[in-house]
Amino acid sequence: MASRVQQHWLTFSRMWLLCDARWQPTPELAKRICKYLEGRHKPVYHPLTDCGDHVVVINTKEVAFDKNQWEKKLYAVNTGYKDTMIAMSAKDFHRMDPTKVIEREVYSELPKNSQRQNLMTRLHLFPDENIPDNIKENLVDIIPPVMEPPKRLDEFTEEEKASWPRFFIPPADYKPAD
Amino acid sequence: MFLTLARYVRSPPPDRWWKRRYVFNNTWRFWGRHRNCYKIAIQSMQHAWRHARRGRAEKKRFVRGLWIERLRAASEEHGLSYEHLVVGLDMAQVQIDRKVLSHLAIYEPKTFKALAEIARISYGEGLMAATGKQPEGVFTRVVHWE
Repeated sequence: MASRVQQHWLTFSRMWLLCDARWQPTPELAKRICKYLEGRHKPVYHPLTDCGDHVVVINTKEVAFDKNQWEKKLYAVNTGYKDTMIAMSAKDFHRMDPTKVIEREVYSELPKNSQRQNLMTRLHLFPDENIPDNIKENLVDIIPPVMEPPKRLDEFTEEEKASWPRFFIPPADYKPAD
Repeated sequence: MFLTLARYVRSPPPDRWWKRRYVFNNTWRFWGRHRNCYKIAIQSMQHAWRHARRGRAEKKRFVRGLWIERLRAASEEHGLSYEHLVVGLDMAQVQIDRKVLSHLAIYEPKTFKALAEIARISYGEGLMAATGKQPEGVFTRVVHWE
């Protein structure tokens, strides 16, 4: 390092991080994004220094919910008409706009203070992998995923299937009862 | 001997001006009447003193929470969790407190990396001791205090 000032600028510079939301559980993903937006992943964190980073989320249309949350979870939607507020299921809300589910989840996970609006402007959501060039230039690092996406049975190799541990190996003439 | 009358005589109270001057010296930064009117200023001053007393205790709690938050971030950078770091250092009999550890994590990153390695190894050693296996290439040394 040439000087202390340069070291200081580099330490507190705002980074652009990429997050892949493909098949990630939504509430856990939202908590992880909040952590990076607030800057809690840095040892120099302080609530008064604005040390959070930009987070670019791709593949938001492929985000996952647990169990039957897609049908059960309701979002309050403003229709624009007077005195009507609609409760939309997560499925319809996602169909309406594929980025809004993650936006709402992150908004509710952020601390409820005046920083919240500011941090939401640093969250960039894209339904698929098409990112504008000016944002692509800035990306520095990848946020580690919450969950490794599960593999389908036909994505496993034959060696993996053969070496998978089995509870018991039935004899050759074993026939299961119907 | 009749003493009651003598006991009714008290020393004179302080001059009113000086009593109020004491309060206004403490409230010169407050807003409006809280600065200049005694009846209002004395209440503001007492509130301020109560908040300061409570704040002195809260500040210690807040600062410790900040150290722990920073250590959580720093240990995640080295692939450890905060709990593993603290328990591992305790098992290795390293008695550095959270205040100094968080300072090292910011200003002495290589030292902190070495401490994280110590914590990782001694945490693993604890499990190895429970299972009865010793990891290879590890030299353990326990300090006894007399």
